[in-house]
Amino acid sequence: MQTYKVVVLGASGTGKTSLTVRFVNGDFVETYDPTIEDLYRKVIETNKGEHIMLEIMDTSGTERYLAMRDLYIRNAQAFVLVYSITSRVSLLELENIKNYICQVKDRPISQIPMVVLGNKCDLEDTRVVFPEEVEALTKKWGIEDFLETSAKIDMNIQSAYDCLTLQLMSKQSFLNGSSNGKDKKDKKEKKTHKKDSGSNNSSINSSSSSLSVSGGSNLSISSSCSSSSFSNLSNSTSSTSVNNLNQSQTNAPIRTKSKRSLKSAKVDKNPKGKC
Amino acid sequence: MIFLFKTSNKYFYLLGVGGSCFLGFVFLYFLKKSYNNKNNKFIESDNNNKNNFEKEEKEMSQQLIEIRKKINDYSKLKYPTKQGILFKKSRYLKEWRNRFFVIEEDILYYFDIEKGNNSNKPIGTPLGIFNLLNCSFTLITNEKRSPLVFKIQEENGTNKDYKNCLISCESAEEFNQWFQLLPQIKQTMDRKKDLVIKLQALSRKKLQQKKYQQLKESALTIQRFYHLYEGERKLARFIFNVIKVQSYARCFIDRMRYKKIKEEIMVIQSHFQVIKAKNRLEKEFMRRRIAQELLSTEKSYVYNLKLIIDIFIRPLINFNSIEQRVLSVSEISGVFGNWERLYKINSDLLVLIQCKLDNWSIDQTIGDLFIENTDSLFEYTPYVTNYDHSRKLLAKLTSGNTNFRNFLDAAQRDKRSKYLDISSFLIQPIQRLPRYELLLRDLLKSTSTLHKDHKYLSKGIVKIKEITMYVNDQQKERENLSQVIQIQKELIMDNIKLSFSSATRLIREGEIKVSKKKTWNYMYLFNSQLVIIQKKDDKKLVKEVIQLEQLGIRDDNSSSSNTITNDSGTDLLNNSSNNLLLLSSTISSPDLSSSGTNAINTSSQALPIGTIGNKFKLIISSKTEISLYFDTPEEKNNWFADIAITLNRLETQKKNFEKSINLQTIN
Repeated sequence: MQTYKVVVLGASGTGKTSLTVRFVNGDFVETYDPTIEDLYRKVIETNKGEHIMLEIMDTSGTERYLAMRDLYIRNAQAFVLVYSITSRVSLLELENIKNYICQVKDRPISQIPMVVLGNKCDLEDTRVVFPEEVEALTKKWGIEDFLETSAKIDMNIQSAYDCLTLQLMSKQSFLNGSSNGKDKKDKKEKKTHKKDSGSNNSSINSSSSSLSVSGGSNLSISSSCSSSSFSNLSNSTSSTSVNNLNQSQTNAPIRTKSKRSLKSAKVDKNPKGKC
Repeated sequence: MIFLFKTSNKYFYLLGVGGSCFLGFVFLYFLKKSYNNKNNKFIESDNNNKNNFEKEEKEMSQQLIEIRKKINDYSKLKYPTKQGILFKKSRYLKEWRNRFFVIEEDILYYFDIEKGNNSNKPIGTPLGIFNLLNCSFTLITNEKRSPLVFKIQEENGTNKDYKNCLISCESAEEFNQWFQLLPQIKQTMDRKKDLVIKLQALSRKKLQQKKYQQLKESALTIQRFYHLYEGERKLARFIFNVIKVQSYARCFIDRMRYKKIKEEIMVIQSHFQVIKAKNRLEKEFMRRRIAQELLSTEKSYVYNLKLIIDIFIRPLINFNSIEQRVLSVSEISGVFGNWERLYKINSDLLVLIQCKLDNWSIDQTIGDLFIENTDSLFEYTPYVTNYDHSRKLLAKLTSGNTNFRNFLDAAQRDKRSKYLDISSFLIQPIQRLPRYELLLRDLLKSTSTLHKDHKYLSKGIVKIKEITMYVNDQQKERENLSQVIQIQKELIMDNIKLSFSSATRLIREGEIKVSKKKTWNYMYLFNSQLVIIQKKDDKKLVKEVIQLEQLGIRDDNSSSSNTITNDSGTDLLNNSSNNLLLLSSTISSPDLSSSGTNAINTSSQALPIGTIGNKFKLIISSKTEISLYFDTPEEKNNWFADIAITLNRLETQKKNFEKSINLQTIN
């Protein structure tokens, strides 16, 4: 069984713990937020019939301690960004959190499984953030999934984690290659590929060797390797990056299909619930 | 008056009739006497009359004297009642003489008759006066001339016999008239007195009537006034009554309102007291619950700490032989840090919390525990700073060491670990420190300000915040230091010296171009200097080190050229607009040419790469300029902003330093 670590991030007072407890335990605590469990585990079933384990870390209380929050982010594989529709400041805070996640993971946001949730949508009369605005913002950021949830009336929480699971499934190849060095290689390889395509082979060899040296900061590669092996590695990494791009392109229609199937699954589930 | 008038008319009528008869008789009498002895008798009678008159005159009362002075002559008697000639007997000679008698009101006068002529007129002063009211009239029968003689006698005089006279008449009719008249005069005078009295009474009555009328009128006026006053008084009384009733009503209404308000106040107060008591109970319940929460979370945390020691650390240490040893001691301490020390700290804290909650009451305090006993939490710092290293080392050992991987799988299958990964356990101390603040804040929220623990909890929260912030800051500094050390290891310095202090922090790094045609270089922005390196043959050559004190930046693509330099002192944070075209010429740097690279030719044509809005200039000591090219306009803007912010920070630090120097010189 696969286990994925999910971190719930957001500004203070947006309902992160209530959201997590509702998802894991299925109940809402009105007057008192229990903090008994710092780590919540939940087994969910994907549309393919597989079972995966989500370990959800609650970061309540660490909003102002950024260096310690950094340690959470490094340890995690998926992220739930929570803001409150009654607080515009919490939405502005999300951008900082998003940028920080990209910085720590050293990876574009399209490769990171992430959902944005607008919590407390049962408090409609005190709403100050409207979904159209956030929809445009998340599109600009490159996050596919945005939902408005309410832990109080149990609205859209299961859907949110379903979307997160789909992202985890689709971006699994990136999760397997989780080392930063490879990501750095891919990034720099892209740049050299785009900008220096007309250069000669000697410049390619020199740049690839320098890139491998910079990538070697994270990996303990001995200096006894030859330059030809480095060039082979760079060629293989470039080919894998091309394959990843192809996979990411092909993943888009799969995602749309799976969303439709999820909706149909929900429709099917409704009469069962009624019975 | 009418009566008097009527009576006077009768008397006048009788007097006229009597007078005519009387005159006839007098004439006959005079003829007889003159026939006898005329001279002698007449002289003697005169003398006697004179003597009598003198005597009488002396003895008369004062009143008669006064009357006599007034009436000197018969002509002064204007309204006589009766008059005529009568025979009067003399006092001493005892002769009957003729005298003229006149009655006026209540006085009888008699006069002497004129001699010569036959006119029968009275002359001179009255010879005698009688007050008829004081006289009595008696009929005398002893005289020769009887029965025609009567006597007039005063009753009040001292000498009764002295003042009296006998009067006779010739005829019986005349005698009867005089004899009847004289008492009648008295009666008349009495009647007159009565009438006067009556008149007086009548006038008095009239006066009384007038007075009565006046009184009546005044009474009427008074009554009218009284009526008016009565009306006004009634009106006033009515108004008074109305006001009184109104005041009574108002008092009543006010009392009713007061009662209602009082009842409402009582109800509200009772509600308030109920709510207050309820709130107090709820607060106390919540307070106890949070304290229980603190205890249970601490228990589970300490349990997990001990679990790691029992499952992982102790078995790894207690392997007997070298062949079975999975990890070395340094590797164990590298992965777990000072885990055993954390277990000691928190087990001691758990004992204290347990002791507090075993003796729980309303007045129990728990904040003082966190004030006095949380200094040991500072020892979380080495664990937190070591966590990143621990995570990397764990990943390396898991991938490289097969025995360790098997050991971890066996440990994960243990029931006690609830199938949690070791990294899930290793993250828990980092989660625990901020959690204390949350718990204490909730506890403070449920504690009333009057409680003794409120003050302790406030201080406890402040202390926990300090500890957590200290740990956070240490972690941040650790990261910066490791980053700088890593960069320092990679860099190769041939000609240029590059020194890093402990305060050096990396702000930004990325790829740049110094000119359009050149290859991509790399640039580091630290908090005190800017380093440009060139990558060549697996090495990073430092080509340019620029101190930020000497640096200025200028963006030629903006609408107005924004220059940020420390020399000019201007602070402008302005992101440039991307719509302006690139200026054509660039100037090459002599330092770059001296480093051995090819000379940069001046180019007047714009290439498609790095054209619009992706470059700005570095100005070194207001002399040399270097153009930096970036991949995207966003990246250029970010670099520009970071450099500008760093320059501003340096300038503020310099100003503060100068201020402190000035303060020291002043002191």
